[in-house]
Amino acid sequence: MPEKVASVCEEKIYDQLYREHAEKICYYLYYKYGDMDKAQDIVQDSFAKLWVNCAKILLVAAKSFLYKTANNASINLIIHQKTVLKYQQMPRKNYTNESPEFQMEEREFMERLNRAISGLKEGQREVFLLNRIEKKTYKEIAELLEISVKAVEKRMQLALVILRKKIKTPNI
Amino acid sequence: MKIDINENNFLAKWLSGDLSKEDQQAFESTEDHLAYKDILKGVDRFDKPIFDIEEKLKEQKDFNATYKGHQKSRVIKPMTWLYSAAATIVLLIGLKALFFQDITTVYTKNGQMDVITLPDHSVVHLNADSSLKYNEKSFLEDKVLQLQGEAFFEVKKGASFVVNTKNGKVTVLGTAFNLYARDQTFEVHCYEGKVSVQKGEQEVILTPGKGAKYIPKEGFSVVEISNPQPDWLQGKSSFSEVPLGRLIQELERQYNIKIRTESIDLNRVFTGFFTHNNLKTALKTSFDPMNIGYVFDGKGLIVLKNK
Repeated sequence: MPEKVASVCEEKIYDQLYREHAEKICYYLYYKYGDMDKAQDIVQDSFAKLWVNCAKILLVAAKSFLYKTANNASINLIIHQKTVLKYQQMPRKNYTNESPEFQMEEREFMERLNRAISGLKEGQREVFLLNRIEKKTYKEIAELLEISVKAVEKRMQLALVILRKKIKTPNI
Repeated sequence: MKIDINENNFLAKWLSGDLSKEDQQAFESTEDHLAYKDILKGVDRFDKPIFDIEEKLKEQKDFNATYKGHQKSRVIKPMTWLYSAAATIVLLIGLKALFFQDITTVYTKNGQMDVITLPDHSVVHLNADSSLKYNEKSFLEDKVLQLQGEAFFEVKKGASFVVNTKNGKVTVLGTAFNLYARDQTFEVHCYEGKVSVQKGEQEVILTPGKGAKYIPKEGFSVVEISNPQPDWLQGKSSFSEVPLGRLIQELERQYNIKIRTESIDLNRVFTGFFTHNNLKTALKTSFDPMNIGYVFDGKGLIVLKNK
């Protein structure tokens, strides 16, 4: 007897998919493009598309459908525009025994770093931030982006070299 | 031992701990190592924005309920004949108006301006997103115009006419004046000659250098004007103590853009101006003094946020 296949149209399954993937896709888009509002919009749209087409999509294909839809949407939306990146900084601790000069330099360094990260190519930036902030291994990133580990290493290497160069000479 | 950090993804391997012991030690004694450490430490201080899964899931449910996707709008293809029919009817009505009523209507869209010469040789400068309507044949007898939006009138000496707007009525006698009638606002500035401004029972007579502004419930207030012509003829829009909403609407009109204002208090008071030929400068002069930030969201929208 054929087993009853779990359908994406079941609310329980849909919710489960959302809990499992929405946040990850959102951060992935955020790292890639640097705009959280837009990342959230795209996630919402992708999940709505999944809902509308739920009868046509098998559960096993849902994840790749979501990533693909999100990716396509972001390419359409963002490709024409030089992204304005705004990575957030952690709130600074209020107590500090560092000198004002040091704090000033520190802030300047963070701004330069922010700008340098914004200046990376999308591919380099997503790899770099997925590794540094999400603490994903190269292998995990390679699987997520469907590229080889070697390619991930290459992007990582380039990201670091470029960041270093840009921070040394901030106006380039 | 000599190492080359550009070779063989050296830095990437250093990060993942895949270097040989010798290489690692050699690298850790270099100056480069310190610089890269600083970068990594800096990145560790970046924080990601919060994504509240349960909250967002709830929003998603609401969104799904109203979401239509793109399929539905395509269903109407076989009905094209209906559009042709509708277009024909509209065209016929238009033609009828043209042949039987001689009504001339001039529209400007966002970002456009126009200059119209009336049958009595008076000149009207029409600002963006405005319309002017008059009867070509009977104008010289009944001398009536309909205006929606904003226009500057240079009336031929000796000529006179009445401009009706939904907000009030202006009677002119050989004069130059600017008329603004949008939403609830009705504002007339007189530059030459004399204008009579009427709203319901109230009437104000303006002489050069004077303007009148009608505020619902409060009535007319008289304002002084110093420039010889309205600023918008010179390629800028200026404002004196107007609600922020009016400034934003004018920006949308002049640049044909859409501005999202959800998080902004539109009743704040603004005084200042913006130019019509450079959007960047215009946004800067409009919003920097108000301490409001703006981002282009890529869909042709500009989103405002309090700084």
